[in-house]
Amino acid sequence: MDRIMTYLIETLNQSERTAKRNSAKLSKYDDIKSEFETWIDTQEYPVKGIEIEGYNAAKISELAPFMNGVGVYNFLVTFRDNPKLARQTIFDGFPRK
Amino acid sequence: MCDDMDFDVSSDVSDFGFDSVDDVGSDFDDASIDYDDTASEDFSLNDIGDDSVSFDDSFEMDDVSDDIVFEVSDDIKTLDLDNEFDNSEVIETLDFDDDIETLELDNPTEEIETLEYDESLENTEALGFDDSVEDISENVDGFDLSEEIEDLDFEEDINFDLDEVADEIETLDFDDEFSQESIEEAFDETDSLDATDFVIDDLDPEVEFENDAIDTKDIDPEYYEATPISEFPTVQEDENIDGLENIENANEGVNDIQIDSEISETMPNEYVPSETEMTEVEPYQATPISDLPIVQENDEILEEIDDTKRIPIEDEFEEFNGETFEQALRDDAVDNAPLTEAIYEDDSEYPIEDGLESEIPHMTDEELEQFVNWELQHENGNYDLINNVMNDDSLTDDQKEFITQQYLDEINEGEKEVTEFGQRVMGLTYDERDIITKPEELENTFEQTDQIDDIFNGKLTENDIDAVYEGLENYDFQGVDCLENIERLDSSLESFTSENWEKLSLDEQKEKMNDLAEYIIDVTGLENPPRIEFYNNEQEGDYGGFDRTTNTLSINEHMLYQNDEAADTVAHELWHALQYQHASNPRTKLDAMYAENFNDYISPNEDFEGYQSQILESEARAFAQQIKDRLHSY
Repeated sequence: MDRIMTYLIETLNQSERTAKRNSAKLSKYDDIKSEFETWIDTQEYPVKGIEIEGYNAAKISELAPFMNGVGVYNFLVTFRDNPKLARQTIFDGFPRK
Repeated sequence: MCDDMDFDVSSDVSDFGFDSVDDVGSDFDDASIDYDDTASEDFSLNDIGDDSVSFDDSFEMDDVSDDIVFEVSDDIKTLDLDNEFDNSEVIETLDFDDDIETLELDNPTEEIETLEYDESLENTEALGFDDSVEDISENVDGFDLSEEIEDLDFEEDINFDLDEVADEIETLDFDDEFSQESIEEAFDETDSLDATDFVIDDLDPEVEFENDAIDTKDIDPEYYEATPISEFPTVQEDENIDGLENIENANEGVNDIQIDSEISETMPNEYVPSETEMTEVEPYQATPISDLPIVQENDEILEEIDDTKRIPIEDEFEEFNGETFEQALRDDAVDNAPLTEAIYEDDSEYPIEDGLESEIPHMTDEELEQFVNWELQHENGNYDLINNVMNDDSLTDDQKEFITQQYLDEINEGEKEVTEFGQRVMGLTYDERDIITKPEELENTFEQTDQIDDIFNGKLTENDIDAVYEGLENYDFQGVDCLENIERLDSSLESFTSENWEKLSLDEQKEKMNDLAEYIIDVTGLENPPRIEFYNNEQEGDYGGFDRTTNTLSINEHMLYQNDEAADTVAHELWHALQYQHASNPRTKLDAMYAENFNDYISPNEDFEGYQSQILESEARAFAQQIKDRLHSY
C-alpha cells in the first residue's frame, strides 16, 4: 500500500473504496502527487507550491479553510482538469449544504 | 639556495607538527614532495592561494598510502609552517628515523626569496631526527634557518626531496621556534613525530597533488567506520603496524566495544517526577461533571439531593435527553459502575495501582454522538476536568500543570473540529480516545416489489455505483412536483423576494423558512419530517445540513442574508430527508443508489468536486433549483 493510501485509510479512517477514489485523483498528476506526499509529512502548504490558474495549495486552503489537505490537493486536480468549474466554485464561495 | 631537501621519517610518526614560522630565504630549484608509506592519519590542504604555501597547525593525512606525491610548481611565494625553526648555521640534513619513507618536492624552482630562521643558518644541508622525538613542536624551539638548506632528511622511512620546486617560493615560514639544541636532542627520538597537525594553506592553484596510490588503493569500507573511542589511536601509534591491512586487523573488535546503555537513556519530558513523588501520587479519579462522582459513588448522597439544589445544567439535560438528570445519573451509576474507578491514565509518567484500571464502556456511535453533542452544547467537558484537577490539593503544581495541559490541548484541538458524521473528533473523551462519529450503515433491505421496479434485482452494478458518484443527467425527483400547489408556493415564496426579505427580522425570516418547509414536506410526502434548528457560523459558504441520525435540518442563520439561498437551503436539505427516507427502505435502484451514497458520502472537506457530483447532492441541488427558479421568476 502506497503512502497516500496508507494515510487515507490509517490516518483519515477512510473506507477502502473512498481511499482508492481519493488516491486515484491525488495521483493523477505527478507534481501534485509529490507535493501532497510532502504535505502528508509536513502538514504545511509550500509557499511557492504548484500554481494553477494563479492558485496554489496555500491559496486554496485560505479560501476554503474547512478543507483538509486531501481536499486542497483534490481541488488542485480539479483546477487542472476543469478550471472553469474550479473558478465558479471559488466564485460561489464553496457552498456547502 | 637549497636545491634538495629530503626528509626521512619513520612510518609510525603520526603527528608531525610545525607550529612556528620563520622566514626561510633561499632558492629552491626543486620542491616536490613524495610522501611515502606514512602512518599519518590526517592530511589536509587548506586555502590554496596564488602565491603561498602555509603549514599552519596541522598536517593531516587520511588513508595511508604507499606513495603520495605532491608536485609543487610555480609561483609558491609563501610556505608557512606554524612553528618556528630557529637556529643556527648549517643544518644539512633533517633525519627522522623509522618509517616515514619519502617526502619529496619535485619540480625545481629557481628562487626561494626568503627562507628565514631567527638565527641564520648557513649551508644547512641536513637535519637528522633520530629516535624518540615525541613531539617536535615541544622539543624544538628557536630553530632558525637561513639561506641554504640542501637536504632535510628524516632518516629511514620518510624522505622529503625537493627535486623540483616552483619557480619562486618567496617565503617559507615556520611559525614556532625551533632551537638547534632541541633539534639535536630530538634527533634521537622520533617515535611520536606526528604529521597529523600539518596543514598546507594558500597553495597556488597550479600546484598538483599526485596521489594515485590513494585512488587505486582497495580499502575496506569498514576501515572508515567512526571509532571515536580511545582504543583506535593506539592502533595508529603502534609502530609495528605498517599497512592498512595490519591496521584493519589491529582494529578488529573495536566496534564490538559495548557502551553502557544507561548512559544514553533520556527522558522525553521535561517534567520527570522523582521516585518519591511517584510513590506519593494517588491515582486521580475522573470527575467529568462536578457533581457526578458524589452521586456515582454514594447512592445515599444521591438521595439527599434536594430539588432546590438543582442547577440549570440539569434542566438542560432533561430537556435535551427527555429523562430526568437524576434518573440518568442512576442509570449511569448502574451501567457504568467501573467509571467510579476511572483514573487519569498516563502510563509513561505515573504508575497505576493494580486493579484500578478502568474498563471504559464501549459506546455505540449513536451514544457517542449524543455524548459529544452534549459535551459540545455545554462546552464544559474538559473545563470541569481541569477545574477538578486544579482544585485537587493532593496534586503538586507541576502535576496539575502536566495533567491540565493535556485537556487544554484537547480543547484547542476540538475547537478546530467540526462535528460531522464520519469525521474524527479528537480526544474529547475522558479516556483520550479519538471519537469517530459514523452513523450505522444502511442495510440492504431491498425488497423487490412488483409495484415499481421489476428490472432492478437489488444489486447495483459498477456502472450504477459510478453513477452514484458522478450524478445523473436528469432527475425525476421521485415523481415529486414541487410546483403542484403553485398558489401556496408563491404565497410562501413571496416573503423571500429580496425587497421583502430585507424587511424581515431574523425571527421572521426563520418563521418564513418554516412555512416554506411545511409546503415542501407536504408535496414530498415526508413521513418523518425533520426538526429544524438554526445555528450561527460566520464561515461563508456554510448554509446548513441534514443530520440523518438525529433527523435534524440545520440552517446557518449567518447565511440568511441571501434571500434566494435561504429558500434554496430549505428545499435542498428537505430533499436530503426524503432521500434518506427512500434509502432506509429502498424499493428502486435509485433508492439503492441513495443508500450506497449515504454509506460512502463524499465530504466537501476532502473532495469538493466529488462532493458536488455525488447523486445525493446533485439531485438535491437540482430539486432546490426549481424553487429558486420560481423565486427568480417573480
